[in-house]
Amino acid sequence: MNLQDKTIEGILVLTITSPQLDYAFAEDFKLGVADCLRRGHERLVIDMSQVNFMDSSGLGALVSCLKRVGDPKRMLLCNVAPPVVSLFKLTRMDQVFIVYPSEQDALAALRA
Amino acid sequence: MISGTSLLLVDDSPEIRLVLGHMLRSWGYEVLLASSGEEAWDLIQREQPRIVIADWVMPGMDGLGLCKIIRASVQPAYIYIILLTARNDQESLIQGMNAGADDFIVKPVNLDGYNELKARLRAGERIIQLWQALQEQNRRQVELSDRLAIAHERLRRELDTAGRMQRRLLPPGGSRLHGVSFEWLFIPSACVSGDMLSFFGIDEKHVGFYCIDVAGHGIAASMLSASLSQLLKPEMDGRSPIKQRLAVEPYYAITPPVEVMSELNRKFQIDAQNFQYFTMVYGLVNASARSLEISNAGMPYPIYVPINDSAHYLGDGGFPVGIIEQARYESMKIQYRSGDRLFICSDGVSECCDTSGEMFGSERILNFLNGSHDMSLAEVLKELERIIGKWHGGADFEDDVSVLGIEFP
Repeated sequence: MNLQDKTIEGILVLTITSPQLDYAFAEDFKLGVADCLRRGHERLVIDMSQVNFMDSSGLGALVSCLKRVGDPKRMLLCNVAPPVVSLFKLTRMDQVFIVYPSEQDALAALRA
Repeated sequence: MISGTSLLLVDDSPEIRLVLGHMLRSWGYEVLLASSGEEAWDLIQREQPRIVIADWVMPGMDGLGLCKIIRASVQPAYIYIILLTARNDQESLIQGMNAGADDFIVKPVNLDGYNELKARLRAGERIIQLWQALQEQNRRQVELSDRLAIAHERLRRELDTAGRMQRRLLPPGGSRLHGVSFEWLFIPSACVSGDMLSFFGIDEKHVGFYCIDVAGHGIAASMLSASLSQLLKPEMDGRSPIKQRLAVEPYYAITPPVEVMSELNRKFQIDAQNFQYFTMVYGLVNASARSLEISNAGMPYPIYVPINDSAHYLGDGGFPVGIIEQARYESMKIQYRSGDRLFICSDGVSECCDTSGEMFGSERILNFLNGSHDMSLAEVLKELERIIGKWHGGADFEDDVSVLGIEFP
């Protein structure tokens, strides 16, 4: 599974360790996140530093996770690489996802 | 004990055959007797016993020779061989095992000896049972894989048919509607595709066109793209968002692109069960006003190629259809000049990888189109197909590739 999870002060931090969040990985990613959420986490940070490509299936998976969490303020993204930023911009998802430059920033925002 | 397991006892001594044969029968075996290796081999071929107990030392073909000839032959089932021997040294043991014997026993002469033989026969039967179970399992595997192959073939044929039906939903290439020329390129990644494109006259001066890319690919994506192509027609059937019936003259209204997107976004919201969404460009040409209004819901930026100027991207994107309920869509208006062209490519073009994994990228598309002024619209699409085919290196595409090219009159 290309997904690493850790818990920092009760906040779930997921790191995507695949360079591609695409058609091949989207379903597993969705199930992986759902699995983590079922363990009772309500707030999470997704570290996307290793993802340098995302396609529409990957974007769909990310939106589905957001819908599961219910509130963009409780699912923050960090370290988003330029190609993914471009996709967010093209699809206006930059208005939906809340993106922080680093894990620390995202964690600080969730604690606040 | 497997009741009635057939067993062949080979010994040149009539006493052993008599006494041991009687004993083996009393244990429930169906016993065949042979007095020489040659006779035994003959019986094995005819009767196929499951167990052979053979004397090591015999005139003519001895126990070792019999072992070797059995192992060298192809038998319908595994034959378990026990050698009767007076020898108990390691060297003989190795020799016997190399010849293919499974077990050894010193010729039994007393109750202890018979009990040992009985125990060794039981061990042999366990091996035979394991072998049979394995055979049965293999047989089932083969049967299963045959059934799978048949099911796979049937599915492939159905997909082929579905793919052909889907391609029939595409409009004829090289079409001209109210002077506006349309050409397209369509390469599905599998038999069926999540991409769809079309164009149509709406009234005597309006032409509509769209490109759709359903996220993901394969059957689910193609079903949505096919149903969208059925829906998006310039018919006033009360379902299509393209054109609405009016009670007053001119008795119809053409839906602006932004409204088309919003309507589709309302209709096709994803939910927990159904996570199919799509990106789309919808454009509306007014041929008498020489204007184009275009709205983009998350497709790669359309590329506009003015007749006497360099190619550039249009607009700044938009929400895909179906994922954000409150999404607001935008459109832009362009006054076109004669010979201006517009290209809408699915992400399968820019994301098409070469053998090293490098993507074709949107810049290469833009650069190519920038140098394409001298070609006809049809030539541009043919050349683009050639270039990305070459880039990709011949294999099937991972994602659907579709391009709509438009030239304004």
